[in-house]
Amino acid sequence: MKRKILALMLTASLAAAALTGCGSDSSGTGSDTSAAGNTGAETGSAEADLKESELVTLDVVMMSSGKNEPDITEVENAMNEILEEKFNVNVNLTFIAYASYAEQISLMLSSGEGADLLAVYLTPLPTCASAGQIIPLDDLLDQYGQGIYEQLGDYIECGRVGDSIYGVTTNRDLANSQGFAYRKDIADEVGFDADSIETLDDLERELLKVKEAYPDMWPVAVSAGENIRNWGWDPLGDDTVNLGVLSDMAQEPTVVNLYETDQYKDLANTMYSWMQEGLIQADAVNTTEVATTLMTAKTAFGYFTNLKPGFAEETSSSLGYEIGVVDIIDALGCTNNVSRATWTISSGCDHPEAAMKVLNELFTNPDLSNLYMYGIKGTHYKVLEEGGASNGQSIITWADGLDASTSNYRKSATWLAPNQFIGHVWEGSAPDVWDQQRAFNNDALKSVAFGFTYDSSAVTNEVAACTNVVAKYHNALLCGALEPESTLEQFNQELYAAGLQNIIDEKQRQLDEWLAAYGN
Amino acid sequence: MVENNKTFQIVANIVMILLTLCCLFPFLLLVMSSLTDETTLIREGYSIFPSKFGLESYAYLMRNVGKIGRAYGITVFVTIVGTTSSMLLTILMAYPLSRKELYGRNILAFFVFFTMLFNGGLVPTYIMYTRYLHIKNTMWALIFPALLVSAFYVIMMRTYFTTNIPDAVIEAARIDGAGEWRILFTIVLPLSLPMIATLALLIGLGYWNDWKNGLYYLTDTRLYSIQNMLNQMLKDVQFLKSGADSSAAAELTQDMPSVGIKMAIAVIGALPVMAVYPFFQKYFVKGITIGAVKG
Amino acid sequence: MKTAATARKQKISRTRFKHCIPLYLMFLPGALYLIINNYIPMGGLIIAFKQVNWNKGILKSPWVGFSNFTYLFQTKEAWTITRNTLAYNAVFIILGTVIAIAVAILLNELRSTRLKKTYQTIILLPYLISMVVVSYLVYAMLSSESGFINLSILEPLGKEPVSWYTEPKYWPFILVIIQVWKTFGYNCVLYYAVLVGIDRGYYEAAAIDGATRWQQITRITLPELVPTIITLTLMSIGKIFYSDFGLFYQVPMDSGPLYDVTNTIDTYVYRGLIRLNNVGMSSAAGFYQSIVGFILVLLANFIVRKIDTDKALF
Repeated sequence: MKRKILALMLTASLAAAALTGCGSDSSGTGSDTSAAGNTGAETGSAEADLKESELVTLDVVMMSSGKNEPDITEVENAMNEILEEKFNVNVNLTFIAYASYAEQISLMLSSGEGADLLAVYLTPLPTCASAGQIIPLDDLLDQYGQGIYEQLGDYIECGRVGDSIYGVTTNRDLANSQGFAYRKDIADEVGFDADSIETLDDLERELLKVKEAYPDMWPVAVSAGENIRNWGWDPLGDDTVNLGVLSDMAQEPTVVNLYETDQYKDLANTMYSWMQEGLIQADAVNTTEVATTLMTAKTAFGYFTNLKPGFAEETSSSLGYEIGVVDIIDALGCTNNVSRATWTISSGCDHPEAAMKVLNELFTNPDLSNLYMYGIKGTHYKVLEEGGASNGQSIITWADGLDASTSNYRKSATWLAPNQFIGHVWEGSAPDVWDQQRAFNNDALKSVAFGFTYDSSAVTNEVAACTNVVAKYHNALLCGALEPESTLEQFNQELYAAGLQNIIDEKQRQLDEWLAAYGN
Repeated sequence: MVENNKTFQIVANIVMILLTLCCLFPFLLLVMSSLTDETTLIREGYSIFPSKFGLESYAYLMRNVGKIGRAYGITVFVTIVGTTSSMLLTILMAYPLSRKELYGRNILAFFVFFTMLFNGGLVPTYIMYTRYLHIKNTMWALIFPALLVSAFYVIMMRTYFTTNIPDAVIEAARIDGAGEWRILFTIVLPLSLPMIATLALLIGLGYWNDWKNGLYYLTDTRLYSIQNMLNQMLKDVQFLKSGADSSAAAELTQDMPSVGIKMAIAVIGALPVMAVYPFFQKYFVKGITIGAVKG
Repeated sequence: MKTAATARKQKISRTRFKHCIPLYLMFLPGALYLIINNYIPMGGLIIAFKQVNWNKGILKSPWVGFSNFTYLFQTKEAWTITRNTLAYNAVFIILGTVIAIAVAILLNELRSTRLKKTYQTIILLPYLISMVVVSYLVYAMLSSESGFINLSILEPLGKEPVSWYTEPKYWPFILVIIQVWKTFGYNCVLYYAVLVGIDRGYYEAAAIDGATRWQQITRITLPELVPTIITLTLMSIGKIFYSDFGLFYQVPMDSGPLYDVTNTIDTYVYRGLIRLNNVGMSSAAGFYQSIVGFILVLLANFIVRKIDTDKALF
């Protein structure tokens, strides 16, 4: 009896596992790029008829702010009208809340369920690629993705893992400059002279004026325990943990331990002395508030942030008071800024060609893109100035009587939509904001490793261990909460004990290989 | 002796009062901070006697009554439906196990017990529920996974039946021609009210306080329960830390409710359980005679 | 003769079996649920030994032996997380039991039933709320700028405010206090329920024999509690490699400087893996926890059985 039950259980569980296997397997043809290419070649001759032979429905997954989006169906219908006529394809839109996005995407990809075309955000692209969760796109791009090539240019290279492109980035601020954002009204009042600021020392001098005039106000507020994310280094894929970086604006191809560099040490020392001077919020490390909340309550003056064209306008309009910015570190283009948010096709997708066609259309068709990002004209937004934007689109705002909390399909995370540069411009931004950002991206200094994506799968254990060590010290150091002299030494010791050297060696090896193959 | 006893009673009561104060105090602080004026809260901190009261947190809740009321309704619905079905399944499972004449009783008991020790992990479970049972983004997602039958409760119920329902009673009913179903529902259950009330409370608590199911199986935030909302607010902050870029941060910040509002939602998420509990209490002690939860 | 006996026996067992059919039917729905919710996903434990490639499916992915497990044992962190998980659980079990029993006895000795009931109700309140709500409560107490302790206790006393979320030395106590605060009421009710069941006659007889209150407690009350203590402890030992994610992750607000004292196996795996997106590793950790828990329960049960067969769990 006992044995029988056991046997039964075993069979049942094996059956389930087998089913899972088969499920992914049958759809796994998508990963076989030559197959996809062939189908393309058959249908793609001369005047390509891009229509699918029968109606295909694709699940398209993206992030949104976690608000309810009751009008998704209407927007879907409007999008399907365009897509059905052109490709005989329908889409089924899913929006996932910010906070659970990483978990949800991980689960969706790991179970082979649901999503066909999805934005991978924060989950590292190489891990998805090496686990076979997403498929290589090269042939599909050649066949159906001309528009994407045109729109993204060089930046498409950043989606490369190994020899294939797995993810297509979105058009947004793809490089980052670093600086400080502050309340303009208070700055004017205390004589905070933004124009005179070029270095942290200059900033310190000006911040002391704020401190003097308003002893109860924190000159520097911190969001959720993170003061400074990056200060001019290329983290080579490890965005918040920086395990092996190219330091000092990333012009030398030697991978180093950031936490041993002078660059980092100086920064930590500066922050520590700022903390001692009372320039940084006292409970910086463990605050669960975000800087802007404190600024709104007038208990803080400003915060460190990465900057982009239009940052001040965008932030001012969302906060309701004027924001000023100081640029301190010039824009730097690194792969991970670009590959942090990419569009991918999951290996569970049964119609990869259809998915690529839709993606290409989202990149090139303003009407479709506007629908996806802003909803239906007249219902969810209204036009303020027809053709007022420099890309020929309109300046828009909420439809009458609606705002961010009442709209049934609201503008949210449009920077994660494939291509906001071809779409409308929201009221408050400069009419040429998209062109400004495009220029910003193109003009930014590029890291020598720009386009290189590092695959951590050979050192996963070390990365897991080091991530824990970094989480312990890094943010606290840059908040000025820990004394750098002694802490840095201990920090580095623990990092090496956790295997940091292996990570650095592995990164260096991959980088050298990549430089040999693709570098110039 | 009497004198001694009196002092003892006084001392014991003082100790108990201190303990109860420790238990109550954080709740009081929570409630007060939800009633504190927003700016005062940020500037002066949490206090039992805030210098300025304000109802704006609750006003915010009222303005968003659509969203919050909905989450509340879902919590209530899930708790009621989940607890009822869970109770039914648990009782039906525990009763046979309490009957000595059940053929293969030990194997079946082990079958139940074993689930307490091993689990397959999140991903396989997730595959099971989403790919084969398709419960993603349905109300079932909050009811079905993980919570519906707990081996621990089955064993508790079983132990109660074996220790508190005399065999003779069942035997007598059988001789009168009653079937097992009738015995269970007309004889055994009425004798087991304390345990039923206890389990109902524990299971109900499990449903009311659960946020994990929503996190894993819901992408549609319209189905979020109150606990999911609270968890979401905590996670929003962690998300900012996890490497969100500035555009994401800016947008998220805009949506993030202030401290006072978070506290107010925590209050309305916690109060109902506290209000309902005293009604169950008279059964509670009687119910938990797990003289042993022996397996 | 012999065959007749066997036949009769068979017949009896068949009627007995037939008799049991309604019972099996009752058992069935719950059993189906356990199969779906627990047993079938257990097949997924093989993931722990695979390098999963979702293109190939789980079964066809390559076996990698124990390499998914190495990260659990590889570094200094491995020692820290194991130590934390075990030590916290040990303290929770011991302290939780002692306090719960002490309060239960105290409650039992009280005379006023009205007060007894009130106390019982109130000490159970913390048990009723979720860890998510608890982390809000704790933040209101400990936040260094606006928290109650810094502002309303330390400041009036003229003491320096403490930056609670960056000072690891306080957290072992804080976590223990929170856990005990949240659960002692419930455990107390468990023990109290047993105490209520003790025949008052014992105490009366003891009092007549001149036993002091203390003697009554140690000679009568405690021995009566032993089976419950053993059962509850055995069950906790089974979970000794698990930790409450809410308590160790959300309550300390995921604060970095505290990791030495707040990192447990569960939080370590979560932190390492939510970024790395590696199912194999998280399965390995789960497998490790289950196996160790299983062995510990068997071991503890074996020891109890050696001492007193009746008190063993199975």
